[in-house]
Amino acid sequence: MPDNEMTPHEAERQLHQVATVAAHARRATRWYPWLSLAHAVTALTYTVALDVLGAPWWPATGVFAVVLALLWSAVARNHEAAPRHWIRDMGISVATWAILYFVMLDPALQLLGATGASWWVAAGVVAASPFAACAFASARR
Amino acid sequence: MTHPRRDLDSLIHSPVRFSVLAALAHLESADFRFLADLVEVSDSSLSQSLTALADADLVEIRKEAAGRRTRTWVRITDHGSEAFSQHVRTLQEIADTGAIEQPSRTPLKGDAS
Repeated sequence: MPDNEMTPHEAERQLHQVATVAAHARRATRWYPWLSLAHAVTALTYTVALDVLGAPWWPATGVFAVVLALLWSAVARNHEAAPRHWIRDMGISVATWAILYFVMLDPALQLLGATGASWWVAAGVVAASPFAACAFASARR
Repeated sequence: MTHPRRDLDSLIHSPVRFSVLAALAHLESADFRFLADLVEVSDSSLSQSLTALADADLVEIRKEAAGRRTRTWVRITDHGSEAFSQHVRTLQEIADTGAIEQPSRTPLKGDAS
């Protein structure tokens, strides 16, 4: 490279360009916090339907699965850019939700004989919190 | 001691390739059309740049069938991420040499301000 091509001013200009391009790129990943939030709402609704409203398990789970499939289908069709480690983060959120709800909270509340709606709503909120945490963390990036 | 500009990567230094890597450095992957719009270049220019970057193992290109059309996805490799970070560090060093050579001006004694 010729000695006179890169001046400090040019270097600063290119560093500014990096920041600008990066900001635009990150803006294209704004759908991800909304996807996480949609998962949280869907998970909470699933809990309320099953444990508060007493919906039958298979139809409720079927609707839950269809809603998630529609969400992911919309993402797959429309997203133009994906944030770093989004699949990993979402996988951790799903796994944590499943463990919290199916392995810990649901059996615990049934063992304790907790039948009040407030218990189950609280359990649903706690179980869905990994999705909310994922949405919060990704929105701050 | 050599000037830091000698550490600049000539492959990354091109404006289009530099902007592409700047975008990809913060993403898991990006669509070809999105990159072309972001960097404001033609499809052929972006394609040439991506080919050069892929040949140097700085990016990976993946084609995916989406209904009737094919979408092209690009992601930066670990090597590309490290090379880009090094290039940015070098630019920062060069920018800092300018700050060292031109210290902030202080008012002279007797200035009204």
